Amino acid sequence: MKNNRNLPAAILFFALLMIWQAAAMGISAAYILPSPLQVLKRLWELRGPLFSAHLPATMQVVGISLAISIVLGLALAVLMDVSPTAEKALYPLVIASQTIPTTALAPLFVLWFGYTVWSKVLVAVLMTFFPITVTVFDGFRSVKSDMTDLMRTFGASDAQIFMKLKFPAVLPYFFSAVKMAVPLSIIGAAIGEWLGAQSGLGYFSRRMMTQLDGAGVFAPILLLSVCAMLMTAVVSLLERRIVTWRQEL
Amino acid sequence: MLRFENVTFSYPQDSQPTLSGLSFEVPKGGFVSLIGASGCGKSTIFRIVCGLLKAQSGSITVGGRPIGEQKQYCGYMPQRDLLFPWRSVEENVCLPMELQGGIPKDRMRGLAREALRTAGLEGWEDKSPAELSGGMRQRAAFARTLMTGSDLLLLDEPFSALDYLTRISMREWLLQQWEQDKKTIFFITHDVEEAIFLSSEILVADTWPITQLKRVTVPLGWPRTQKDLARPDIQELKAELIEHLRRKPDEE
Repeated sequence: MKNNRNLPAAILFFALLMIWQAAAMGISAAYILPSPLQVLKRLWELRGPLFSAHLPATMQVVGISLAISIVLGLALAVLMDVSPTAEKALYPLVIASQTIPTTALAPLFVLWFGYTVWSKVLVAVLMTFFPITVTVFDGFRSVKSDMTDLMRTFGASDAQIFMKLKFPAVLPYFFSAVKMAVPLSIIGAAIGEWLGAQSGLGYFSRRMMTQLDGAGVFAPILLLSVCAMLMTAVVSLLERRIVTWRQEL
Repeated sequence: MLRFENVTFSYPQDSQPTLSGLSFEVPKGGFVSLIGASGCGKSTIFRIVCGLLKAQSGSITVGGRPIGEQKQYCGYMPQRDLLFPWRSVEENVCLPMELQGGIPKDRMRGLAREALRTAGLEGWEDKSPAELSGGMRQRAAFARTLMTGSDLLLLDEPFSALDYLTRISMREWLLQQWEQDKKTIFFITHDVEEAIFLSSEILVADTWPITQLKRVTVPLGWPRTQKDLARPDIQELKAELIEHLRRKPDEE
């Protein structure tokens, strides 16, 4: 059943790969458009530095920034839910923060933090805390007021309403938010590395570009995509384990 | 059991009060229904009793004591069952006891299982609410309401979302529960037939704002069956009540 559902996507994916392969073979200039096979070959050749140095460096940025974004996003969402004043003050700022062209500001972060991990973390956090804050806050708002009322008639305190009603009700939203945040944090880390770093997949991809190594540019990007897909799959798995009631909401 | 004395309430956005100088009483152990056109303020009365809204003046007592001085004096059952989807049926029923605190887990589970058994939901304790039918969900919600331990139960149109046949069996079931538990039930409905079938007395809200509730005693004994509703005097009462409610077409 599941295989059947994924079949059209798999067919399309392979069709696109074939077109890519055919186009690359037609152009026959690997520095402009390397073929998928060339990219895979290059990934294998470069596996040493990629897996021992650059992947761990990028994953460190991704890990730190996801952790910060989740804590910050949850804290802001809870604060806005608890206090209407905080909501009025923060919500417009949170939205406005998304109009900042983070990519354009990133060089500034390099000036501030140098080539340390923090310049990349800042880029990634700026891109990821927003969907977490807004989605989780929407989750809080979606809690039906009649459920809160019912809890009150049972004599529930604010803390009990939070723990027994809002917290579980918001979990599906939280997982959606994290699923959005994972690829964004990887993109953020890669952008940060592109602009100034001494290691990392983004940095490596850029270095390959200066050497006109088309397949070398793609290899780390392929690795980034695979990481994003794997991490999202892990989050989905956790979600299915924890949020068994999602379809009923 | 429940006594309103000279209660006035208005919503901040309304120029007119919803309740004005309202007094009425629900006797201990009685089954009293409150009927009225939709939007007339029936639910407002319930929300005031539950403490979700505060009356501007007047006194409301349950068991002779003002409601402001008490906690868990009433069990409220809303129109929708509002069972939490992330809790099993039994965990849902345990909720009021959990919130009260101080009850050991084993005892809570025992009480919840007992309540579910009387609600005809034995074997469904560990299921998710989504696996229950509409009528079963309402019975689970009723079991949860009982777990508040209050002698006064406020049921706000609990069967209005059910299909007709389920409603009829739920009414009969509710009467059985009431006869067993000896609780006082205050019941909101817009269904005149339902009110007659269930209640010892009916309170009719037919003024705007609500200044008084017309009191009607139902001339039926216990136990009752659906057939009793076909009696000519009951049919007449039904027609009279419907006529009474229709007299105010501008009430919405």
